[in-house]
Amino acid sequence: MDIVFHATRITELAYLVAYLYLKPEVVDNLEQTLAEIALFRTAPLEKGTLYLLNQDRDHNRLFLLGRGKSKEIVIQALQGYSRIFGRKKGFIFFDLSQYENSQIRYSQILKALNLKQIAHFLMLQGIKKELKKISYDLKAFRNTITG
Amino acid sequence: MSAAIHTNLLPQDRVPEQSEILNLPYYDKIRSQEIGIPLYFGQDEDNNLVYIQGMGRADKIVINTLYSYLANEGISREQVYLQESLHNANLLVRIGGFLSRRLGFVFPGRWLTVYGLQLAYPKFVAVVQKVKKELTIA
Repeated sequence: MDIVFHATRITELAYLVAYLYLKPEVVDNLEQTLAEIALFRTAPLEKGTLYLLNQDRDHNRLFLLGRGKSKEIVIQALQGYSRIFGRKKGFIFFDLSQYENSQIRYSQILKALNLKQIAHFLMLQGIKKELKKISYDLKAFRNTITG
Repeated sequence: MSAAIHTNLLPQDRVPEQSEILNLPYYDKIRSQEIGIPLYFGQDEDNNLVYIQGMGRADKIVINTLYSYLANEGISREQVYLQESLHNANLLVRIGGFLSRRLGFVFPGRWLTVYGLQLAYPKFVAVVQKVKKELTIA
């Protein structure tokens, strides 16, 4: 089974959720976690690119996918390719757009304007707001996968 | 249309009749929520599998997804030949599609689309011939 964390675009939020999926205990120290994430973050990913991030304990591969606003189209396409090439392992999708609140969206605009510090601050505030829900949803998600 | 010509469901030496176009598999039957799903259309004379896929306005994103999927699975890009076919669609085809699919005016929409496709048919044939030639060379 492969897990795809997908969002409108790949931001710190996507990396963080994938990271929290692997290491749920880091929730207590968000600043440090984000700093750690920044170390392995690559350049902004092109939309549609399926980026292999890591593997979990059960050898499920973790992917990030920025799919713009065309969620259904891209997911259906990916599932279709999987069928065409006779892939045995299925995909499980985790939608991150539900956590993209206004602060996270504004932070992206500010980042594009090169106002990095304030963008980072807003991103942090935005993530803090969603952290409880993310942790709860990830716990349920993990339970679904492990059965 | 291109897939039908490629799999020899439609002729290359003449413009097809209205009924031949209307009876094609999937013709005017794909719902908007099915966009993105690659649909098996048939096989050509060299046993290449032919699929059609609507991409909406997300064509670049979907193509990126395909190529990165292939890379992650260790499948060569050369296994897939992509051909964009909508650029052959003229204004009549687009207006007809809009009338039929978006506004629900099926009869005038289909009529207009088929007429537009018949007018643009030589262009579709030319693209298919180019694709077949490239596939043979490869």
